[in-house]
Amino acid sequence: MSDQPMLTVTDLRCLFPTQRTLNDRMNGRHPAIHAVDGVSFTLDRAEVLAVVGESGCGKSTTGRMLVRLIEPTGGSIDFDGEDVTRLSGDALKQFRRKAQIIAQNPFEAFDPRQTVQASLEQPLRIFGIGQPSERVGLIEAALEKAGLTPAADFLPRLPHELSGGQLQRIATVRVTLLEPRFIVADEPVSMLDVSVRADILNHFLDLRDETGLAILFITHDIAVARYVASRIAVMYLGMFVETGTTEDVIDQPKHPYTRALLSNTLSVEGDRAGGDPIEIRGDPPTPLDIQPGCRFAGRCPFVFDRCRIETPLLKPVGGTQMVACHLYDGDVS
Amino acid sequence: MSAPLLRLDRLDVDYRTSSGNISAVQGVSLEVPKGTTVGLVGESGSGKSTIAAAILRLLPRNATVSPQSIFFGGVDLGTLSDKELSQKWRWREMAMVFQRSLSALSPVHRIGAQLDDVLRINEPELSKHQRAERLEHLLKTVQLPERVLRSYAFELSGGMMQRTMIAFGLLCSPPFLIFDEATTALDVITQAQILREVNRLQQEFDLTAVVISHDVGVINATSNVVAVLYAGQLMEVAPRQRFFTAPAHPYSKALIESVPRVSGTSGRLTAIPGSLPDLKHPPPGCRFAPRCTFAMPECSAAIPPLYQLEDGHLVRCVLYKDNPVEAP
Amino acid sequence: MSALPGPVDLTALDATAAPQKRNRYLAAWRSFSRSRYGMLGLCVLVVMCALAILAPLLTSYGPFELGDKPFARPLSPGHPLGTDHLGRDVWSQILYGARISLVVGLIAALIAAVIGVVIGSISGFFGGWLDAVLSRFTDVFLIMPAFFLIIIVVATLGNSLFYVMVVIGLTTWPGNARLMRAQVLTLRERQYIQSLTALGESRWRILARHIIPNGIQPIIANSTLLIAAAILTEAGLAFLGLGDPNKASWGRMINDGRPSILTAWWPSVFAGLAMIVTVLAFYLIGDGIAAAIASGGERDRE
Repeated sequence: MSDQPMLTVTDLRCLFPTQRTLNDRMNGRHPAIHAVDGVSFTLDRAEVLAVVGESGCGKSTTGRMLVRLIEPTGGSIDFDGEDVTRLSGDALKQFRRKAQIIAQNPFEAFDPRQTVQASLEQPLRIFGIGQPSERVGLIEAALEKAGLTPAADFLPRLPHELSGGQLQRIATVRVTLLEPRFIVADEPVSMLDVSVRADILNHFLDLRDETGLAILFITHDIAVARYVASRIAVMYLGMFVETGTTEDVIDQPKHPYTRALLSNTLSVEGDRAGGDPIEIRGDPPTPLDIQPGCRFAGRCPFVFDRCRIETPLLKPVGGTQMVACHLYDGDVS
Repeated sequence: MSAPLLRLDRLDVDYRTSSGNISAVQGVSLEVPKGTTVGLVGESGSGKSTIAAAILRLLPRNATVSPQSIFFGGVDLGTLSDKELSQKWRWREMAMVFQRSLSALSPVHRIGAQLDDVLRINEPELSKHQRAERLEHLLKTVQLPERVLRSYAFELSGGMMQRTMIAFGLLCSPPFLIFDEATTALDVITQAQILREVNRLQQEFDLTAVVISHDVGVINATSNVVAVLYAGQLMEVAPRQRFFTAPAHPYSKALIESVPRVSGTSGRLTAIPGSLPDLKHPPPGCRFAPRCTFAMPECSAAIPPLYQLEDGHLVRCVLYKDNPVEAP
Repeated sequence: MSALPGPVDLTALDATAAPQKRNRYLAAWRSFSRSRYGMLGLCVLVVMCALAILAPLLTSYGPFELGDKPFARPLSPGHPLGTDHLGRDVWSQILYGARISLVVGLIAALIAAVIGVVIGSISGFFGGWLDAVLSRFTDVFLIMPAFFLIIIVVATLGNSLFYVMVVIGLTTWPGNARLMRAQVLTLRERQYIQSLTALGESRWRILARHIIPNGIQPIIANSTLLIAAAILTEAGLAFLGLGDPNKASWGRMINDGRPSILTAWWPSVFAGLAMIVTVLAFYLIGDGIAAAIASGGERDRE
């Protein structure tokens, strides 16, 4: 392994400008939705990083910027030593072969008019993989390998004839036909039935082990993150508030938000009370009207004056963890 | 235990479609005693929402419900006319809290006006002033600020919206509520907030409730009794603690084992192989048999009866046929 | 509420269903055939087309053939619908007129559909300044008084049927363009379109192969209305004497019959009836298609 990580993301930002009101114009303001506000991380081959956060926190926007579906408004994405944010034309197309995305809703992943075969032939045709006559064979082999047997039964099907689990597997097959080195998995199991989720999650883990695939796994469910990821980044309103290895973040959560997430996750044990949950009042704010200070301050049970004035930055707090919280400022162990 | 408030007796629901009949619910018998909360858990196609809609008679027109199978407070709901049901029962005796969705509310009327409408129609004896008082009290009950009454649906956050839906359910103080995936679209923290709220209300008003969810965690957090549905068949009924510590049906076991956890050791999760059967041509006998690791020829011969394992723990699986007591 | 709410519910039921519904065209036809009015319109249209195509077999007179019995009443021997002031057979004129009306309607609507789809989809898909320019261009055509434009063009360039069709097509596309643009705006945000972008598919192919075919149904419904409108426009021109003088046309029949309508009502009235029936048929078909589109989303869920 080289000393450079495969993917280095530095200070990634995405602002969506919103309509300026007359008042904004008079005051020279440019209001914007701070969907992603300075996110940095690295990802290596065969590594799974889970980004955990509630809807609207910017985790999907982050993922979609990484595969160039949304243009970042700031920061850089270094993939194999190349800044991806500047790619265009053929270079961008070649990048797409290496970096792919699996989206949340398998029922929406395919053109409703295309058969499975047509959908799967598409990536092969786009990148000229195999001779046209060999492609059906390649597809069948990939389907069989993904456990969709007999493959020939699936080829003539239309998306609406298949179940969510089957479609999500086929979506994974479509992406892996390109043999990417990195994929963004954007809530790939949240629309699936509980009993088939494990199957898709295991499939990702197998891909990681067999092909060295690096995965950015986006989820709202910290239990799922724990299962698939070696590292976790907790995101709140456009920023990472806590990062670290899965063990550290799950066993010793530091940020009040992480602690709230963990303690409010519903248990499936007979003994349902696993300690008192941290009760968080209020609703998640929108990223539209960002006030100075910590973004969690309005809901945080441990809030103090400084939180409302100064935005905390991610700082190491010992072990593998980094936390953006003033509670840990004096604590550089 | 007191007499059941709601009793389902071999409930069947079929949908007629252009390409054949869908047997969405088959032979479901279930009792909901007064003051308890029964959690109905099942995946897509399990028929859980169909059961809820059948109780409140909100099924689409292509659905047929078996006669004499839904009893509420001893009354066969099937014998009531649509008018009787909607005037005397729905909202007043039983209400439903739907999944948070903008489409459940009118986008062009204020929340207060919509609540007031339902109240005015169902309790015409109340004066305008009394209705206003009731709404004010109701908002306090579900911990919503009063400005919600003057808001439009799209102005509310997910959590507020869900509280509003609960307020609709409680509007005419019914003794019985059905929560249909009431927290499904919410984030983890808001979901926990709402569930705590639901538990508090249940105790405060001595509500009898059915909580419907695909998420065993939600059932665990709210219910006293768990009922597991698969492909329209009731597979297991058990007290909550017993269900989560000693599930009996292979499907229940697999369902609990397929959920990732935040605490304890985490081994490799196992998924249930295969997919839901086609309910236009359901498998004979146990509908889970085609996916079951313990399946034997007997499973497909006939629908297994519900075997009683101990008090209140019933399971529909031939693995337990040697158990001496067979449930009625 | 739907039968089984929840994120995916009934779609899963199709998982192992026999793939009978494979053919989407068959499915579309099935939804359409459920609309009673749509089917009625279609039946009428089929009859009309048959009459137009088989015209030479259904009458022994040419539409311009002058007869020796002017103003023969309907049900006269050899002239089921009578004759006009020049002794021409009204039935033959109706039959041959149907050809003109149908051809004008179809071709004009086709031109409008092609232009509307191309401009609307490019405008919606590429957005930005291109969208701004194309949308303003569309607006200009939308506010243009089409009928007067047609009169001016026909009056200056000559009144051949070709100009009539082309000009009707060139002035009625803005509605289609707006519909298509709206369709594209929704479709391009759909997840499968995003997935294709991520897969590296070219933008033109995405537009042509995946967006337009999935968003075209409203244009088809609208086109049936445009056909009806084009038929009326052509008749209006012919009525004003701006039609093609070499073609039998219902509009001209009405005009020709006008001076003598109090004594011989039949040429004008039968031509008018034929027109009403045809236009109505297209409206009903449009209704049926619209209903089929509306139920299309539910079809999979049933």
